[in-house]
Amino acid sequence: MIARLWLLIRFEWRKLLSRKLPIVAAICVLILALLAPKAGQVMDTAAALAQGKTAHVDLFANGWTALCSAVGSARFFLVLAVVVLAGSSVAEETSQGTLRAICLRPVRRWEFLLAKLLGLWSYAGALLIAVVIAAAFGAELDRGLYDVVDPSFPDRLVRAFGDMCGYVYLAVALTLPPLLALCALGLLVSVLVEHPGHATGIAVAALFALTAVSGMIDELRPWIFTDDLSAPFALVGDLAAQYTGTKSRLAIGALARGVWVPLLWTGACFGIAATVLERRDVLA
Amino acid sequence: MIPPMSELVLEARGLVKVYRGHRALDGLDLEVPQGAVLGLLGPNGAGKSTTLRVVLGLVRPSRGEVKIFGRPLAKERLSLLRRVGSLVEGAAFYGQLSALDNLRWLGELAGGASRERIASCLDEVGLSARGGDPVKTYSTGMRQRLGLAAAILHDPELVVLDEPLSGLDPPAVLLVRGLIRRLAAEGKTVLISSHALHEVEQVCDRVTIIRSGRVLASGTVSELLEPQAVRLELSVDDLDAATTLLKADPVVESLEQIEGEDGSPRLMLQLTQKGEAARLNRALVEAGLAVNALVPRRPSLEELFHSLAGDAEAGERPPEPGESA
Repeated sequence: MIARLWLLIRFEWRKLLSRKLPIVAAICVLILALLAPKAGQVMDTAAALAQGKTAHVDLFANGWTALCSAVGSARFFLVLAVVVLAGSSVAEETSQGTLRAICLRPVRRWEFLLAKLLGLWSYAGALLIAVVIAAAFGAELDRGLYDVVDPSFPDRLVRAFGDMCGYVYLAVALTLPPLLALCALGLLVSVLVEHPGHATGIAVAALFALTAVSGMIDELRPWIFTDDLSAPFALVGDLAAQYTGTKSRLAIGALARGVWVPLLWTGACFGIAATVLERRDVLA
Repeated sequence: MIPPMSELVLEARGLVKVYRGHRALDGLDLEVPQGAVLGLLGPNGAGKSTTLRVVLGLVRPSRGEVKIFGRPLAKERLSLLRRVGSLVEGAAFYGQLSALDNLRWLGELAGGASRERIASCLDEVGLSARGGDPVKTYSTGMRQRLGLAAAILHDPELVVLDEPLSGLDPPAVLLVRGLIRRLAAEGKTVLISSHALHEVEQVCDRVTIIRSGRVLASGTVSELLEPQAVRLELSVDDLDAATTLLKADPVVESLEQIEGEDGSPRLMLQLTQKGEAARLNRALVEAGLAVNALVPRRPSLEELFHSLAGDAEAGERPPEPGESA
């Protein structure tokens, strides 16, 4: 079964790389991540000059804040690309008849779905890592990535370069579970809605709806994974800017919740999708 | 004659499938003996595609059981599908990938297919020159042929083909006919659903005719055609005189004027019993008529099909879910 699953995952990658959308999305997101640090600085300066002020200088801004801000900008498009790909994946296979071709082979339907989930997730994870590398490159060119020091006392080390690298690694790791949940949500919609266009639209709408609910209802926020897509790098940005108001978010409990809540969503979405697909009559 | 249970490669008992209140299958039984090439015939909406989907595990029956190689499909689908090749509802491939890539992957899913085997399958369906091209550049007929290559790729013991000749040009029809004959010669079991009755008659040795999800007739082609009334085609110099004479004969059940292959008018006689041709010939000659030809005519499968299924009802039922119009 493991060999079959590995074969299916490899083929998911093959299919993804043979399509234009994942490649174009990856290139766009990477360019955005690379240019965002410099673009952000230019935008801030332009906005300040437009208001008749002198160019704004944020004493607490540094390469690390630029990196996190760039990842934040690119993340929006990355998430959108992933949800579009996940939302259309099974529905496209259904409409093209390739789902039927797979069901006629000795493969369990949940294995096919799990391979899709892991294939999409690994694509999203690889893209996230590439985005972080591109943003780090952009930030290095823009402000440089050094130790974080107190701007009033430049000799006073606040966070060492190595610590900041560690926070960035942690942020990447903490973004992976919500990305998995996002893929599972997209796949669930893709299984429930057989028309690829409708499925994609509904998956994007579901993501925005969850984000809106999370923003509007404080009691529900801890239980909705969409917040966890942005929180890790926002937190690293805060740490780099020496903002202390969010330190509580670094508590072990909060970090753990950022893992198990998305995993719960993943389990629920995947479980429902696999059950529906297993019981479905493959007619098309 | 029903073959012994051990010889049945595919066996479906009491299949019922209800789609939103519509009974697509209504207690259908199907038996495919080992080494047979069985044609599944029926008008639109008869339940052919649903039957194939059920026996391949794409659709769960509302009731009934399917056994392949004597094993229950519901419990051992994975291991059984390794021994089954199929082409259902037209070929579906990843258009952006080449035919070789598609076959390589499908072969790996079924347990592995060597490069040589893939090349030989492509060659067999006449696509070896285009194997490296993306499937999206293929015509409908080429996709259909590629679907056949995919169906036989892992050397299955049972091959299930739904409308395998659909969308094929005459040379491709010959090629596919040859392929099915080769499979039969190798001892493979083939189940074909088709509207092309003439083609079915040419390649199938057994036929099952269904309508409204039920079996109307089943058996070897000769078994099914043999009991039909004896028919004779008569070419004579005076058709009116011959008609008058024959209408008075008690063994002549019906008589119809037809056009012969050469365009000349002829009479088609339907008799109530065999062995009367010589006596009728003698009677015609004794009446002074010049008999040019008196040829026995076996009814075609198409005629049998229409007599069983009924032209009037063909196409009246709504199509099965997923069936193209």
